[in-house]
Amino acid sequence: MKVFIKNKQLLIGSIITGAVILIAIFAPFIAPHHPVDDANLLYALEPPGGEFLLGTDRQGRCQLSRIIYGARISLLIGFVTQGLNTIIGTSLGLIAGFVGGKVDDLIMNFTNIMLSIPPLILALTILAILGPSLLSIFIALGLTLWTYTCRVARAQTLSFKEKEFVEASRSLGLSRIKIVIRHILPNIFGPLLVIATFGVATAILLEASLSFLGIGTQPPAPSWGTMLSRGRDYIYSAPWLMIYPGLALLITVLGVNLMGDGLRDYWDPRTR
Amino acid sequence: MLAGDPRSARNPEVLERMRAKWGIDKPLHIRYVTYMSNLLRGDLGMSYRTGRTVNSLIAQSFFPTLQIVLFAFLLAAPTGVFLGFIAAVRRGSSLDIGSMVFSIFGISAPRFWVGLMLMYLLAVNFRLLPATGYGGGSIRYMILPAVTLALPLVALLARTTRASLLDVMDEDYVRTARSKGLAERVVQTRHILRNAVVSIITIAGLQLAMLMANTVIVEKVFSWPGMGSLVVDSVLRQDIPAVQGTIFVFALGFILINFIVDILYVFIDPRIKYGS
Repeated sequence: MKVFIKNKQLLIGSIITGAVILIAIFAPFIAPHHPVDDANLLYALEPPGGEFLLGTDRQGRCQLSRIIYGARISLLIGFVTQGLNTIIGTSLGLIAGFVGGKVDDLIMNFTNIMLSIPPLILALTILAILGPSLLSIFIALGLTLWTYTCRVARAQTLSFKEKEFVEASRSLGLSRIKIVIRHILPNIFGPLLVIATFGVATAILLEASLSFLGIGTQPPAPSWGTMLSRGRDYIYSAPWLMIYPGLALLITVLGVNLMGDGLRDYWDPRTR
Repeated sequence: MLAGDPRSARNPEVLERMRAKWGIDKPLHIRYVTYMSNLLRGDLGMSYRTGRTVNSLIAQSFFPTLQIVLFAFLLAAPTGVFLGFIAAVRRGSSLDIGSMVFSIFGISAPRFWVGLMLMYLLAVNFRLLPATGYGGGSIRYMILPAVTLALPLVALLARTTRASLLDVMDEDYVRTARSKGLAERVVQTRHILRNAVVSIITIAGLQLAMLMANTVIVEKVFSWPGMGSLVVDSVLRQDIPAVQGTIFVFALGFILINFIVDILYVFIDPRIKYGS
């Protein structure tokens, strides 16, 4: 608990992220309307206030409810894709760092090639080939954001590889896999968690960007990115349609980033 | 939303003719060799969607993208470094906290939303600037997309500059410089900033490359006719040659920028040398 009191960023970040997670889990109980089915053209494009706190969209759906349900999509994609990335990046980085030699060269060259293509463009290409669906987004984002994790995992592994305790366990006859899992992985956990946290924020933003461009989450699913791209068309007549989904996105990503900052300070107090 | 499979024509005869016309009736490895040998000669192929060469599409959209990327970079680099410098020098002051709060917002805010909000405030509400379009490349049309691109970069540079300055600040040579009676301003610029510049340049270079990627979304927001719009439109219509060509040019730009940054190191930091 002391950590939270000293580390304000971690505290604020955790509160925001926790709140968004709770909202996503309990969406059906919090949302005043159904995000998709409660369309009623009689209430189309109602401004915020009254029965619809944040107004309604062109189909007369309650925007507040859609934003609340949108948290589910954003968080699901953020956590699942970043989970994938962490697994891929950590495994490749550990192998590259621990095995070394040609394997290292091979993995790192591949990683550097991947790094030279911006993630948004890579994800765009993958989605163009696979066609838009939730699964394609998982694949597109799950396979593009692991490069940074891989580089850090490799660098950290290299720095621990020659430490005495690794040497000791090797002389005790532990297999290489056991050394990596029992002795190296726990030691590099902190930096990897920090990267994973920032990665969740990146994945959430990328999903929103792809949905904004029309190739991410498909309507009628209430994705914040899709809502924003619809909202753009009503910038003159119904600006609330582009203000609030973006605000939701900003708060969520801000919370996750603050948490990442806080975690980084916790593991590496030198950066303060 | 994506259109259907580009191969899904109803009439098999038409389908065959189209496949022959675009050269996709040949097996994969032959197409690959053809594509690569054309690529080496600088030919990126024909775009399905427009029937024009990909080279001409890219030639047409390259300059608008370069325009806003450079404009954004020129806006962001001095501002970001300046903010970070002030934050580091006045560590713990309200200026420091203010600029760090600004930068975490700048990093977290979705770019396209920032663009939309700027558009809403400055173009729709106050009618100061045009909302969308190229306007023949006039500076009035460039401001909104360039500022949208620049904001996250300012935020990131401010953070990086502050962190790397703080790293350097406690070094022995800084204490030596102070103890030999140099003016604080000289210590700050000659000793602290100079030594932090390497990591700032690295980030700035990487971010210049990222700017190119971010144009993809910012150009769509402002209907800017650059390579970003080109790649998105091509993806949406499954115009694979155009997608390939544009991404090839993006990757080329990315590599070029990293190369330039590597060379810059030698000039900035005399401690770095390449080769033996």
